[in-house]
Amino acid sequence: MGDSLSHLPQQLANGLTLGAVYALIALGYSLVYGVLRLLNFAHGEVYMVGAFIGYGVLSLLDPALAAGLPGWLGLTAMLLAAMLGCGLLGALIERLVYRPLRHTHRLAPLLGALGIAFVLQHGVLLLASARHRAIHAELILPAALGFELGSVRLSAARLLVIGIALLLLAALSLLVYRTRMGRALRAIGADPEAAAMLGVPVERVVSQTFVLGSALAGAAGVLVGLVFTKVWHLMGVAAGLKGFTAAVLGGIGSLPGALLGGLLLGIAESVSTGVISPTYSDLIVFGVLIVALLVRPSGLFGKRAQPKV
Amino acid sequence: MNTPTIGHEEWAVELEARRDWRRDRWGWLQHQARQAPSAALVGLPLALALALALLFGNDYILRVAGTACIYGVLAMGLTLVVGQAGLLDLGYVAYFGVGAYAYALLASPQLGLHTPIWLALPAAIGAAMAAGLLLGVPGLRLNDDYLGIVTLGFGQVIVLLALKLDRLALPWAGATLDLTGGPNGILGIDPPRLLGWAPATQGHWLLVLAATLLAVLALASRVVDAPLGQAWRALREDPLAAAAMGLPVTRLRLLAVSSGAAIAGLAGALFAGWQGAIFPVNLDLSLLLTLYAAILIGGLGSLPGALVGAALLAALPEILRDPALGRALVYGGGALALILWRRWPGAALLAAGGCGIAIAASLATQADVTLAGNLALVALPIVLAALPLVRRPWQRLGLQAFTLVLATFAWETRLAAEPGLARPLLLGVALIAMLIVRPHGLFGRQRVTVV
Repeated sequence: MGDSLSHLPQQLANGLTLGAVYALIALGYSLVYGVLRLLNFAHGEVYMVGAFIGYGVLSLLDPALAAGLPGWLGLTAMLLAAMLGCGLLGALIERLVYRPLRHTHRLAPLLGALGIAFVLQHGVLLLASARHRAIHAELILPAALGFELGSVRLSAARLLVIGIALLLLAALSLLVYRTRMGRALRAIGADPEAAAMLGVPVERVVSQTFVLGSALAGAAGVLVGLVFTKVWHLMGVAAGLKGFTAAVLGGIGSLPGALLGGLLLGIAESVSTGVISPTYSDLIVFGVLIVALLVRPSGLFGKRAQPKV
Repeated sequence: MNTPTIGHEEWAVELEARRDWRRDRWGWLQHQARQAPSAALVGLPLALALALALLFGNDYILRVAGTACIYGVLAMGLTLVVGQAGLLDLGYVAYFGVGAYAYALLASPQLGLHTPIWLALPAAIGAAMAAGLLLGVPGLRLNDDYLGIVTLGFGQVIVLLALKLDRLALPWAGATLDLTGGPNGILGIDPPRLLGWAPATQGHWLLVLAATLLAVLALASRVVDAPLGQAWRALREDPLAAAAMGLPVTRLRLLAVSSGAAIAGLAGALFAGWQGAIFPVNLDLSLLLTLYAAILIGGLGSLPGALVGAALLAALPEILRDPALGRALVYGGGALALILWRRWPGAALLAAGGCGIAIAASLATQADVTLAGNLALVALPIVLAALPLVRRPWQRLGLQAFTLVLATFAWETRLAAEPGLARPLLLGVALIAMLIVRPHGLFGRQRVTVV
């Protein structure tokens, strides 16, 4: 026990990295939920596709990187490709599945999301086979790079993940709170019919929301690949559940809430992995979700929604 | 009967019919007779198929028929929860798993227990119900979306437990216990032995499974017709109104979840006994998706619909196993669907399909086409999404033809080559298409919302 406690600062640092990634996934849930009141179950799979796009770009760039292409260029290419690809995927999902289902049966979008998740998993399996793919992150960032703070070691990859996540979050909040599109987005979230009457192009803004959320998930996929150096076709299931938990913890629909929820969950997971057992860390996360939903379903930052009669 | 199209409700529409239903035994018989056709329409072909399978089928056919029975039992339980009570339960397969593993633990060499069936089966059902209640009590306060994701997570947790509990640490004994066998599962599960008789052949098993199916069907249809079923439907339509009418919402929901779980547990125990083994792989997402597709095809809440859906979903993937039959099914079904849908002109369709086959056949014989097939697969959804954007008739026709060629090409080069992946992929696509094109299923009634 004393041994595991001495690792606590390191666990906290690791949790911060994990939390930054969860926050990025949680933001996608929150964005879409804030606008459409729809839980995009397939979000975790979009993140998985993002990780695979990152892997694909890195494999393509492999010779160039070995020949001396600077690492940050490779990283930028990976992030851009994953964000663009996942953004497109998000738009496709919205156009092909959610839009036709928006005004049908109450359960239809949720079941449709289940179908998308299944199709994406097996699609990736078909395109890339079931092998776990190793990401050679050392091509971009030497593993030895990083610095130590007392007994805590923060590798450059982890620092980079936290940095990029914070950067993307800042960009997103600027977009949502300072631009015309962000205003339209919030208007639809408040009242879609009124927004449509006032001339907000609802369909287009909904599409853009999906593109945004999915691009963030794509970025999260690339970043996770850099830290954990492994991608596989089922990685989205647990990540999607954790991102959702983070979103609920912080109050679904709230952007700062998603950040805080992600960090909290990341730290909780990594500390419990160190102190209790790595075997059951997913179970602990699920327990956190249930307790959070029971104790404070509106989350830390969310407003309690009054059911409309 | 002349029914208004807006603002009518099932209950109000059937009021007349209900009024002249006499409240004595004779009246009950009359009522049954009036209800007979829909049951007979479904039951007779099923019975006929069963008889044919038993008389002429080989072991493979019998196995598929048995799978159809298991799916049927599971789909009926699911349609009670989702279709009747309107609760989105995405952890349904977990109850199946709990039942299967509970039965496996009680009747296999894993723990050295060989409990007789009259004890092991109720125990398995009880364990599944307990799991349902465990999740139901906290879950009932949640709305649809949250309930969905919590139950989905619960399903994952059960799979995780099945995988990880092979090294359960027992601190007081200082040892680890292999409870579930991890990824290797539990083997050597006893078949259910009752009064000295145990099913030995696939034919025996099919009889056992079909008898179970019938028993569950009888029970479930009684429940659906009973006041309980009516209360569930009221809950589904509007929980708030149902509560205002004095229905015990919480108790009704718990009852729905636990009866669904009990049926799933029964199916799980039988499945474990039939297969003689149970693995975590048996509990994956594809079973959940198959069941949801089955109840959607049949129409949410309809018991005969659930049976037909289950039979279709047990049989169709088997056809896809055979390349020639699979090709016939995909092209035939695809063309039929497009013709029935009537949005795409048939001529373009046939021409495009023909040239697609030609292209694919000529290419498939040559070098490696995997990459091109993958690209076609990725391009397909993009083209599909672009279709509504094109308005000019000729451009539209061209794009439609291109879509068909792309689809044919992707099918021939990639999907037909890997039927193990093509089947789940098609299942997912079919589920989504079903939701979009015909959300009320084949047997379900078009729902009219009260304005």
